[in-house]
Amino acid sequence: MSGCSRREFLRASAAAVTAAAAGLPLPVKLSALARAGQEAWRWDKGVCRFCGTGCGIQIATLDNRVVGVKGDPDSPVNRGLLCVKGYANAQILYGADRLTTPLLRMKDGKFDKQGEFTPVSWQRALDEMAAQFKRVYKELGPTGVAVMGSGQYTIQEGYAASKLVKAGWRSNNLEPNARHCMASAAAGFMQTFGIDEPAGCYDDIELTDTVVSWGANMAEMHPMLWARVTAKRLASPDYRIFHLTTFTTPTSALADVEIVFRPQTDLAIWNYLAREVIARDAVDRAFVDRHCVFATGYTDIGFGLRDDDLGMFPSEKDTRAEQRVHTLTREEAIAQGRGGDAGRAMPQDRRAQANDHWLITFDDFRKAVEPYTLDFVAALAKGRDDEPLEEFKAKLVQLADVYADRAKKVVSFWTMGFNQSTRGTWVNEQAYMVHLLTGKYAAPGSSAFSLTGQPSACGTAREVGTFSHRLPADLSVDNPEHRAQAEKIWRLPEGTINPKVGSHITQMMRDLEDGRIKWLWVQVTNPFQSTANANHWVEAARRLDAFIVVSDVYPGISTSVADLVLPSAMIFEKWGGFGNSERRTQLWRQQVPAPGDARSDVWQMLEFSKRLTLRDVWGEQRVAGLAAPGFQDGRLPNVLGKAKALGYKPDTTLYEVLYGTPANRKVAWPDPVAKGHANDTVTHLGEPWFPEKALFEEYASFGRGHAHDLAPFDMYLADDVRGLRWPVVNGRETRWRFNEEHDPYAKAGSGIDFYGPAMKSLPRGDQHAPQPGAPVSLAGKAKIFFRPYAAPPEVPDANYDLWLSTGRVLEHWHSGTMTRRVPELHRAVPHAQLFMHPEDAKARGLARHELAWIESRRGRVRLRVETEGRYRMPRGLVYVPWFDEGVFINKVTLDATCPISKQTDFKKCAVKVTKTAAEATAAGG
Amino acid sequence: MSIPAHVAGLLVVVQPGSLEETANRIGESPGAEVHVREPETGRLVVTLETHSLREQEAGFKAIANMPGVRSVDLVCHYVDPVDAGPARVVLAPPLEARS
Repeated sequence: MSGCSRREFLRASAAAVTAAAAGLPLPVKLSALARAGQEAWRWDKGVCRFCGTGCGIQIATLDNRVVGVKGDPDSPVNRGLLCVKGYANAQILYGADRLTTPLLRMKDGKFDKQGEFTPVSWQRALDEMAAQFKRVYKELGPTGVAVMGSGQYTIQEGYAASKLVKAGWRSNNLEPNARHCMASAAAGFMQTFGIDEPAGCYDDIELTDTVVSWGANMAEMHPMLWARVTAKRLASPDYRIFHLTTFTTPTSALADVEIVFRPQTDLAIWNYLAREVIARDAVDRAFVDRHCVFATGYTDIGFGLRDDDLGMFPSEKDTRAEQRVHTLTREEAIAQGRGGDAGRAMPQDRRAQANDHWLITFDDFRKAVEPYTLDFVAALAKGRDDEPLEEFKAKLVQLADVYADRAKKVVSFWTMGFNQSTRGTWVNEQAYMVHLLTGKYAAPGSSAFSLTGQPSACGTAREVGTFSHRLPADLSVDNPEHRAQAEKIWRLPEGTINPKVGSHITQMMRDLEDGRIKWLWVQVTNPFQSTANANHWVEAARRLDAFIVVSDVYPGISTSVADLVLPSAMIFEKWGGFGNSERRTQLWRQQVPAPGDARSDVWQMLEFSKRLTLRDVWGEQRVAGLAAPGFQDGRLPNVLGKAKALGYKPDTTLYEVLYGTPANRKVAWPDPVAKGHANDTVTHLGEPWFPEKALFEEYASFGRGHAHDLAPFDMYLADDVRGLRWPVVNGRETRWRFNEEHDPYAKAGSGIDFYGPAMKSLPRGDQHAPQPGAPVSLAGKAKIFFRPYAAPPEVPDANYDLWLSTGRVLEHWHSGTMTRRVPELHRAVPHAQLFMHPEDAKARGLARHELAWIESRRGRVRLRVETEGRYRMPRGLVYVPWFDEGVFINKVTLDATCPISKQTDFKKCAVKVTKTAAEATAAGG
Repeated sequence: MSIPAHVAGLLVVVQPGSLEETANRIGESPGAEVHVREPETGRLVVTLETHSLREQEAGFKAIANMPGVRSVDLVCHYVDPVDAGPARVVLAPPLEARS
């Protein structure tokens, strides 16, 4: 087909699609032309690159270019619809400044930290990377090197990274940006159910009577799920929507009841609901007695800040001191059953025991929630100064009416509003608290559902386990049986895997600042923009003894602080798979080649692993603080001797041990499942095996038979499959886990079986402490936690007098590296704005669209004020989206984390807002 | 040999009474073609063909700013499968190193 006629067809197609969207008839000649033009297009299924919803898409390619994207009408997730970001899945590939060649900082032909970025060959790039790795590994051992990945890793990439870091390097310094995203959700699942990820699924949207969106702006952040909620609401007069939020968002528009609460007081609202459920005799006794126990934990656990004063700016001193001693507020004293302790300085002595918890009685639980009366909670939680207290109370009562009504089904949704909190794990557990008390869980239409932000936060970060404490399929590095299981599957000598949990992602940044990590590889993420309190980390990356590698597709803040930039293939330029929020695994084929010298992340890891031999990593290694049965303190054993028995030699490469194994090489390429699609990982590897399939199947062997069963690789690529929700047993997916009718793992006759195995043996205690005595087994049961209200470490004061919350907007994805290169999206929201209440602006002499400084103890940035638009802020709270590198808001945010999950609280810190000198001058003149 | 192209499908809503006049004006602007005119609701289906995304953005703005145009929505966007040439690499200069 000639370029000219092809162009004609494209015009006809664009006109046809536009007319169809508007419901307008198209001239017959044009529609015939449009159809003819698409005959040469190759359509294949894929999954959207952006949020955790996991929308199915159809991708059209012609002559090695993606020429069209549409919502997949056969996808049960989005049923043919897509949001504005979804339609950009093709355009993100074709931004003008794609990275297409490795770039190394060089001076006079040699690597130089202060040199200029210079294009180099892949061989030169990987050789330098390996030399730097060996330098640092020799100096600092396994804890001196690290990999930062993300919830945008494909399943195979995450698995390759896990194996490289944990088995190859014997380090546990592998972390996803998902630590910032859903670590609190994962910790909440593990502590409550002993196994990660939700019981229910998206089907609950249509099966329930009530949707409660807790701090989740679903209309913008999960638009296709919100489209389903909207459709159901409009068709069902009795369907009800509650939106709990700290400011008015587009989600509020559809809500029957909007409850605007003060930051952090969601903790108190849940306990009010639990108290009401008990007071109204709405506890589902049969469910609770049979399937649940009551539990609680320590409260003096700190705020996940640094314990020391290293690298501290003087202005950070008072907030950092909270980590060691926190003064109990009047409300906290009441809420924690320590009425007499208001104003008391509480040493945060249980920082190392934040995870500990113990059993309490129902009576202890009832007494613990007793202080959470309507009067107490309403006064604490009301978020808008101008809302009458009685109105706010009436809404809380309406909310309680829903949860306490035995006849009503309820789905609670949440995401970053809960997870990004210094008590993020607690508030996740509180959601299960109310759903378990009322028996509204693990049944069609009744669910407490944690939404995820990234396309494979579940499928990769959590299920593969690219965290510093995890191994695949919920296994942990600090559990000797789990290590043994992984060593067996991975064919490693006993004692290879490091039993000491590695640094979480924020700690990695602190380690970089302190010189405890000096070699870092960043993949599929932009951590120097996305980590809170960023002034520290950008500076740390430029330490002369640190070597930072960033694999990315476009330049951004992280590439700008890197020493070596590696160009990556993105989404449909490689084979991959994602797992969405409802446990649905979806795989795709490579559709087009990557531009220039860009290569898949799998290829990059495989190729790098060829440059390391067992001698480099499997000798005796120092690991400060390592103390575990079977290990000498502070040492990993030399396993080179035992390796011999497995047929390895000291000069065997990690590639041969981890990836190009005899078993994996049997998974041959070419493979009929490809249906003519290419695989450039194989092309560049130059060996006839299929890494993405071999790695998937090897990974799946961890979960099969352990309630994490995945289907065979080929099944996901079958024409009539649109992803499958695990556990997939005998080819059948599972919609409601733990429910005997739906989940083959639930014991016969159990009805409901909370079979998750982790943390299922606990001591007894009371509200404040455990008691000595033998632990009790809780097999088959879930825990109903009492977790009290607790204040955040930094609250507005006379100087920093406003709360700052950060987050996303519909049009942009994370740090904007992809979506800001799509003209429609960029045009819609070109820059981050400072959303604030008009009176708050006026009080600071600011008018709409004027430039202002926003400043915290950690840094300041300049941006324009918006007092209208899509968000309506209450007084005292401002909101800034974080996608815009020109408004680098993470210089301002606080790196406090939940002490259990280690997830950062991006939703709360104290700031001040002032007019910029330029605006002040303009106003004066 | 054709040069790279971006083809956008636009839904344009115009003021009642000015449909023909506005449609003709849009049809005369570079790269734009009017395919469907619906006088009842004042809607037009327009395609806009440009060599770059930047031009597409400029063309979109030009149409949006024409007299008689009430709104413009970008409904779809196709990239002509002709190689767009080597990508430009833009990177920030190295930050101050710290010893």
